[in-house]
Amino acid sequence: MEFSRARQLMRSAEIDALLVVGPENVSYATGAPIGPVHMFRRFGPYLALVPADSNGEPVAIVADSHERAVLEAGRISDVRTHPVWIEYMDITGQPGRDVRDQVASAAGEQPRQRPELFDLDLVLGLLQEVIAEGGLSRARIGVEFAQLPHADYHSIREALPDVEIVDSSHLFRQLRAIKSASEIERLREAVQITEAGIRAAVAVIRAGEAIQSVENAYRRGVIDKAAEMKLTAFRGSWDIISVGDRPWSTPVREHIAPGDIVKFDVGATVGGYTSDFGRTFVVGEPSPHQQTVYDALHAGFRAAVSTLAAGVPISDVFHNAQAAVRANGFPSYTRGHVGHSIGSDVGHEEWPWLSSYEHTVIEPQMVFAVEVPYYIDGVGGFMLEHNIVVGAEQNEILDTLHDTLDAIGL
Amino acid sequence: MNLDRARQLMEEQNLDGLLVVGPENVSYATRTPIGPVHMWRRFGPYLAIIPKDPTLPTAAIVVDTHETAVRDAGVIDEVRTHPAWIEYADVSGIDGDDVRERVRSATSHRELFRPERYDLGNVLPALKETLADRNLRSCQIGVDLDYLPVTDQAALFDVLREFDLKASDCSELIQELRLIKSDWEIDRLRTALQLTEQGIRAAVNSVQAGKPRSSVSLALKRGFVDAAAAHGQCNLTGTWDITSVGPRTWSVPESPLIEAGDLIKFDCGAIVDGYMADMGRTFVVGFASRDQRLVHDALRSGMHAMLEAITPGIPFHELFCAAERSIRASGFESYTRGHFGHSIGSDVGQEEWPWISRTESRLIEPHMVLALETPYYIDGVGGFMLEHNVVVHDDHVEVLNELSDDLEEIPG
Repeated sequence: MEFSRARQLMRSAEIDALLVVGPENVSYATGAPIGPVHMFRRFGPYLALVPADSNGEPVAIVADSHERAVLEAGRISDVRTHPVWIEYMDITGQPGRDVRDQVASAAGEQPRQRPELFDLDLVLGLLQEVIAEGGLSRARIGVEFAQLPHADYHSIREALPDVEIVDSSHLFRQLRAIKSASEIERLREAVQITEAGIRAAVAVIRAGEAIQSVENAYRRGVIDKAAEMKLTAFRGSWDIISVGDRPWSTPVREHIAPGDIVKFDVGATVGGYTSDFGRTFVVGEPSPHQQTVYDALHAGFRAAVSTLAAGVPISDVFHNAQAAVRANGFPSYTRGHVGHSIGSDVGHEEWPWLSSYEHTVIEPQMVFAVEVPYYIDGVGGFMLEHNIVVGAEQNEILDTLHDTLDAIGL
Repeated sequence: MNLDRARQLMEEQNLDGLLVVGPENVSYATRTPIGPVHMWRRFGPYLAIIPKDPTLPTAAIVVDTHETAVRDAGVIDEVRTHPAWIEYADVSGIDGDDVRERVRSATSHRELFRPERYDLGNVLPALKETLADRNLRSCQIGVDLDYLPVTDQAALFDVLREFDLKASDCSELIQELRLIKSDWEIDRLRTALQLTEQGIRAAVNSVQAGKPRSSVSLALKRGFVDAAAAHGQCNLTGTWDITSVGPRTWSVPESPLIEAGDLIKFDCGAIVDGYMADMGRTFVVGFASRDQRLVHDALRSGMHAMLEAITPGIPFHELFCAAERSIRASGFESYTRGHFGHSIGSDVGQEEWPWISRTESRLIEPHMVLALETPYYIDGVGGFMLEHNVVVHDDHVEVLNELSDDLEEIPG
């Protein structure tokens, strides 16, 4: 999170500070991974407060076990901690004959207590302190309502009775839409390992092979590439792969058959950043039906990719893509969007979506997934999707695989 | 979700129905995977309504692309759909030489518009019809408010007001349901645990001084996938791991390569059909130091104290006290955890309610599946984790793990 841009957006929204509560957003603000204390996705274990005033220091409120990770991420130096259920201790430099003495020395004389999970009252107390120190007790503070459970809203209200709490969900979307060089680098790495996964999967596909082997090969291919690249921040991969002519149902067959359409809609996560792209293959030569569908999608895809440029309203990309598919023999083709921003938000599809009613103008340093898919029971699932970094002059397409309907498994 | 138990709990809590909104809870109620429409964790794309009256049909309101999955699962009586952003067509019953003609005839009745993602403007009328059909008016309804984002609450509360429904939070009721597992759920957790142990074995076999510390987590992830592939009959829906290598526990290692003497801590699980194993083991690269043994011996004595104590009918807090007493008596008087384990299943996090804590007075019962854990995170020595998954039966407790609970030395 770039604090200077956040402050600008806060000033134009007339917000005095952001209280960051969503797991992915706190990680975005601190630069430190989410960690297990956020597994419940509840308000409390891990927060950040970012004042609009550039003299105000951002503050993080985190579990004691995570203080070091947040400090070392280097973005927020004021870190307040509270004990969680995890027994954690730093005995570096403690005197003693053995580890028992060092632990005793680090623990000190005070009786120690840890809550079952975390102590909301302690967290709210720290928050009240931070708010008072920042002179924000009667301020207008933004919280992402889209990420705040109803059950926690009233705790914040009661703890900060004079603060005006407003929704900052959209401000976060706007911030996230523009990527820094290091965010783009993570996405680039994510795309590289995703492509390796597709290549590995394509290599095992042939008639007679188990359908399940395709996803296993994809997942292995991603991990092996991450290992080869010595990525330290690889988190995992996701895949929606369909084989055969029923893209949304469990396959009735266990094995790949000649003529099957194989659709990859897949991605991988590096340092929280998730790629999202896709390709379609056919086992053996494509049938005229398959080729006809693919050609129409390809026309839509080319239209979308060539329209997407800095300065263009997003709705143009949608209309040109949908119009091209319709003009190529599918007048009923109707999507809600033909892509979206990608990054490190809660879902791998981020705002803005490339839809008919999104008129936001495309800017440099946005990164989009552009997709023109079609799911036809009786023919198969088709997906064509690029990940594209918008440049001031020229875009960069991060993925390098062909965008043709390639025959494989021959 | 066991509907009989759900109805019994509704009866006890004076609820006339449940409106389930949290992604994992809807998935639990419908026995259907969560699906991409729930990636934003918002209210709307996917809901379930469970009336208390068993003569009233259960209902789900889902995006159209998910309809088949919910129907195939066979749990929900009535499925209503609303359009998502995803375009699909079904031409399987339509013959013809030209796919364009087949699609045209399959979609001729369609309105040519789809929402950007999904539209609450379509969800709310479906919800109202569902409530009206069941005459759920002027009564008490449970909503899992733990998962209702503030952004969406006004839209939902307007509907509740219109039907004069008094909403109370049923998050705990659903946790209570989740706590008692069916045989189908226990099978999922059993398989997940087997895959997890195989993943750990594979990761341990890959460890060598001089390799990147980050390679251990990658080898574990690879091991999970290989184990699922070898199993052949399971649906690996994900994996999770918190792997630490070296003397640091929760932060990035100071140097990138594995060294002799490094502690390797696995806290991880394979996920099968959404059900998450949660187990842990600790290894040493080369020979274990005396300090490492002192810590691990203390943790193991805590684990053994819990395994000796656990039996149906005792309160959770007895396990907590047994573990804490034993670890403190082993030379670590300051050792203070918030809990020594928890239920496992398919909830939002791998740790489910209830926790094995000082204050949890609930009794251990058959059909619970629990993780018992005695970890210690000491910057300067490293992370330690010893964690078992157990199934509680009528007359005994079954430990699912087969891996040794020693601090094993990895030759290297």
